[in-house]
Amino acid sequence: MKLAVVVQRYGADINGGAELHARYIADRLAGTHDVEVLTTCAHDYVTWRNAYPAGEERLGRVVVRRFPVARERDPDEFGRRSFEVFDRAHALTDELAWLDAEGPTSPALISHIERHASTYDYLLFFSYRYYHSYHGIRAASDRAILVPTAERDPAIGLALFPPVFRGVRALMYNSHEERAMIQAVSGNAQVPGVVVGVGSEIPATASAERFRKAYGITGPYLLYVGRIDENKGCAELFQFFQQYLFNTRKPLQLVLAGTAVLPVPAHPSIRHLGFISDQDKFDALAGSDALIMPSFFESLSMVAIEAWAMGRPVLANARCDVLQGQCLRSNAGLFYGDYPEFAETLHVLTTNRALSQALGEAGRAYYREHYAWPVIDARYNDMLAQLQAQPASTRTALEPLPGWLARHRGTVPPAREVLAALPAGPVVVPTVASGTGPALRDREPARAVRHDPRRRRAARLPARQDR
Amino acid sequence: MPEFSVRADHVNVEEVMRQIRARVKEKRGADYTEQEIRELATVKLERFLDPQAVRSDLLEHYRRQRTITPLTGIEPAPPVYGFDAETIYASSRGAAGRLLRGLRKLFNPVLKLFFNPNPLIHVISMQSALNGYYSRSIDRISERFVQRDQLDGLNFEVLNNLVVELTRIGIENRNLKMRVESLNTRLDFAERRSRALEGVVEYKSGASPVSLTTLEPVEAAGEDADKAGRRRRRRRGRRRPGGDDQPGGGDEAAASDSGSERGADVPPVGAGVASELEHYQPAPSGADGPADPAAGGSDPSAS
Repeated sequence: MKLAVVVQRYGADINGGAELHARYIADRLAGTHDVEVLTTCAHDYVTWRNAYPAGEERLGRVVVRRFPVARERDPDEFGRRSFEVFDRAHALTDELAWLDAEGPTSPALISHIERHASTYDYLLFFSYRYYHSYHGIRAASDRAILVPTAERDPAIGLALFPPVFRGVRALMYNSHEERAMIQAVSGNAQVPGVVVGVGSEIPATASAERFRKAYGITGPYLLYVGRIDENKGCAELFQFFQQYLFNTRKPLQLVLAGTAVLPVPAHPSIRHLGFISDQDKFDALAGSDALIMPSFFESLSMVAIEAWAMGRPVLANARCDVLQGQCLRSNAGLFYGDYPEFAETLHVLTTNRALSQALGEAGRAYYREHYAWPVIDARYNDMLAQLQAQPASTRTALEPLPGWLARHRGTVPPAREVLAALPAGPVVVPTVASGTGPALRDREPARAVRHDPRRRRAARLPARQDR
Repeated sequence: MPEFSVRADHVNVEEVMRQIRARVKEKRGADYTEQEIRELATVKLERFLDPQAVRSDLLEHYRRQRTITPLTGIEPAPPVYGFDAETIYASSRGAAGRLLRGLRKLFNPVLKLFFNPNPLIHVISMQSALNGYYSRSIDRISERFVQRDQLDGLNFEVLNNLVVELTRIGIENRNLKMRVESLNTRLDFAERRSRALEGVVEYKSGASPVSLTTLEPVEAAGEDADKAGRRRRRRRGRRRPGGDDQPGGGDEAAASDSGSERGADVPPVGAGVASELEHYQPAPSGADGPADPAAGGSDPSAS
């Protein structure tokens, strides 16, 4: 089959979540299919400034076609338009303007898809919220497979996207929570979809000693891998960790690997290593007591999956439905909602070796069952085979944009309101073994209810009973 | 703190998290956020000021205060119109006015043929004076009201803060009570344990005696032991209340009980405990000197 992977940025030195996901999937699919990557010349996700030359190049087994970005993102304009569509009643045209402001605006890429869509069997679009996915899917909806990589942020509440979720041939979800959220917002249960995620190349050997020697780290440590950013929950992590050390006087270190956007506190037990290689990352995981994931919003945490592959437990932020759901389904991680829970879970993970080991083993089994590459490959190939067996004519066509008057009518509700009304909470799948089994969603109240103490108290009793 | 029992082949995160949350809840007593404390405080405030409960309409009063229009915001009163006996004849037209005024005065008797204007003039003058008086009074009162409004706001703030703090302290108090109960339980357990341990101490031939308080070996024989025995006996004599306080009584008692035993052989540990327990009498409350911490554990009645 000839496949196209359409993604906002692509390159060996790009490590953003969705982009890395796309690169891994493109590489894997290239083993059995003819794969082309259609992307922009951008490298920086804030400005989308053209950094790579436009044209064709080959990276490994994959041909990459890059198209220039017509205009860079203006952060002020994007912020203004975001406020307009997220917090106020607005018109559909406002959302289209928001999408243009977000970028990466590459009409050349869309034009290429329009002209050459028929030469591909299927086009895999990564990240639903960007310009390339929205317009690209509209140009080739009968061959479009969407990998939404959706997080629980206000963009999911925009009126632009439900028709897209309903109009593609298939969706490859990252998690059960993501699928539940998208189905709730768009009612696309009839569109073929499967929870896949992404695998990772786990090295055959990982040496904790090598890592300790290379970075001069002694004693037990907790590992964080990723961008050190307030949006990733790092500020809260620093506060909790320092308070924990102050209260317990334990010789525990927090090792941070990743680029720092947020200032790292100057504390003798907090070590920031900067960006580290993949081998160092796995070595660090091998030596850690646990991996910590303080992020509030994740579509899928690849590093958590890698930690599980290495047999390490994960300590996650309970406010991230996806992470909490993964911990519950895998039985391989604990989660915290506030400082007392953080302290208690950390204490348990660092002192109860039997539990820590059992969590690690459960994580290893979960990885093997759901995220090992053969499993991921099989799910993609199964979906492609299913789509080939099912003629495109049987599907529901993508709904056209409404007329001029309807597009300009300012009756679209604020995206935050839509998001708040969506069901929240982790999805509990009955058995870990049956990955394809029915997903039972916890009857958690919507996030607006959870964040309002008065309403939360009213909803608490039935919610606890459900658990 | 009890640990989780985990089988290597099975772990249930949901169960572990339930236990962790139970522990967290146990530690901090109740799971209240700052917002919830404030809400609780508000509830308490309303209950505290419930008219049916305490026969007070303070809360309603405070609520009215918050919605009332401040007096400073209402429309200002029109200026007071000055009126006297000459006003009805006056004119503002300059020289022509003066002429007009003269004519009006001239024809005043003619006017009085139709009706008497004098009572009207009097009443209107009085009304003007009253208007001035009320206006000045309202100004003073509104100034007082403004001050009162500000004071009420402060009072409400203070009262609210007091109730918030009271709620917080109440919760903390309950937590501390729980901790005290927990510590009491532990202390009881430790005491029972120490008694049980004392009960199972056995004589071992050739073993050196051990101090009950420090668990360190005591000098086996000789003068030191005698001195130590005398010291103990003297101390005991001082503690004894009332009757046995004749001089030398303590020493005589010492000579009669175990002096020869000590000199003859190393006293067995169990025997030492027994003799101590036999002669021990609890110090009366307010007795001189600090109470022996081990004394509680050596209460004969308890053992």
